Amino acid sequence: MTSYKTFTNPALVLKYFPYQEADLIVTMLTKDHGKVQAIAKGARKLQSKFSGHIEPLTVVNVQLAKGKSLDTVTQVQTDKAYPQLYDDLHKLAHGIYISELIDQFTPEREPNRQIFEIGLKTLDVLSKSDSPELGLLNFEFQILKFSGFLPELFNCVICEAEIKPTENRYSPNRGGVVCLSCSNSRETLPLSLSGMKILRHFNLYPVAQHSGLKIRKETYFELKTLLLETIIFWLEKDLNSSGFVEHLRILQNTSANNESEKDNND
Amino acid sequence: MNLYNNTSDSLGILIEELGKLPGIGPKTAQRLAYHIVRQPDQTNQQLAEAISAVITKIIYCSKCQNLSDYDPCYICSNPNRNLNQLCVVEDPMDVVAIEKSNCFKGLYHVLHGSISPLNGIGPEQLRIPQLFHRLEEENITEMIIATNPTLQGEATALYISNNNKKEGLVITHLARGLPIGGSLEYSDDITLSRAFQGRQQFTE
Repeated sequence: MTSYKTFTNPALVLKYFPYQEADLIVTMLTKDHGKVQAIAKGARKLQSKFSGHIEPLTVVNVQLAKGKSLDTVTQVQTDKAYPQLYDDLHKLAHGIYISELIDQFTPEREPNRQIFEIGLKTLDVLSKSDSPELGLLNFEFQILKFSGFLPELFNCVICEAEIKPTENRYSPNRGGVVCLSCSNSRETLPLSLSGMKILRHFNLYPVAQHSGLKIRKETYFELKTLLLETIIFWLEKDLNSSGFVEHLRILQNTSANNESEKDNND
Repeated sequence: MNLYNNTSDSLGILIEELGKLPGIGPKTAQRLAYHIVRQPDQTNQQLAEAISAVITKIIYCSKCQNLSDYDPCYICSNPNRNLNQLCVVEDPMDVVAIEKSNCFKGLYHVLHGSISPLNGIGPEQLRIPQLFHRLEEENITEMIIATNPTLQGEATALYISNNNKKEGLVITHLARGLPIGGSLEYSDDITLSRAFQGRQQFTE
């Protein structure tokens, strides 16, 4: 654990909750000091100098002073904001999902620069791209990898035989690919060859743009299910925000179906 | 140390109950309890009656979902209000703030919170279905979304606007920008860019 009186560091604001009359207790992932909880005094007042800077999904330069139980925010300035996320509900929901994943996977005061970098990179992709699916899958994969839960992709997690380039199965509980001869267990999920190739690509190029990669809808949902199940297995709980993301997806599909029906009737 | 930490004692019970209020710590609870004990009986009776009345009388207005003694509430039943404008707010206290400013004469709809995916609060936990039902039923032509300019508030505003089915409804939200008495130096990027987007011509 680091010892300091004050420190200044870039940080990604993950969440906050109100405290007392006008204060906020903020959770942020700092670049060099890991996840930190700190009190921002008076931050809920409209004219507070902190106002607007401490918003989730914002990268800030923050100065923290060591307190008895909680650190205190003494200065904060926005380094990078993602206004595009605030204009699109789906992007915003995915941004919240990213912040929840970081919050759940990072212990307090344990620096993890890779998660910080990949978090920022993914928010960048999410805010700029119209199809951020690959970036989001990559983030889920990388947060598992950099938290020490890298899925095994080359050998069967049961018999340790080399995985053949064909359709295989995946076990979230065992943390990797299961070959076809061991896959009679009910706890495995399907993993297609293209899905496996994408996971191996993520493993090789953690922060690449993935601009050359294309993903089919079926492969996206296959990998989405597989990674989410793995995340839930390691966290031992559901993620609150994934329900909201799913709710929005269902609403979007319903309205798209209604519109296509309307077009057909016309 | 709290001498009245015995919860079977009436003063101890009062301290414990006051300590459950938001922002009230054990010391403040003790100070308030002693203050109440030293007050004349009549003053305490009025306090007790006020609390009791809140418990028995307060209901949700079936139209705007605000807290009220009557259904419909005094705003919804006021014929002088503009029945075509609806202002959507997060909390009953937001209605008080807007009414105090005297700048809006339309109707309200209180959501009782905002969408907070991190805390597992989705649209179904708020009064959003009632809002959509109301938009269908009433002759509302403009909906002003006045949720807080926070992550949750923006998510709520986007959700309402994306899922509105009423055709021809004008949906607006409150202007974003610099507060009176604020300072440009301390403004964040999003507020400043929105303030520039929403800049207005000087009028004489």
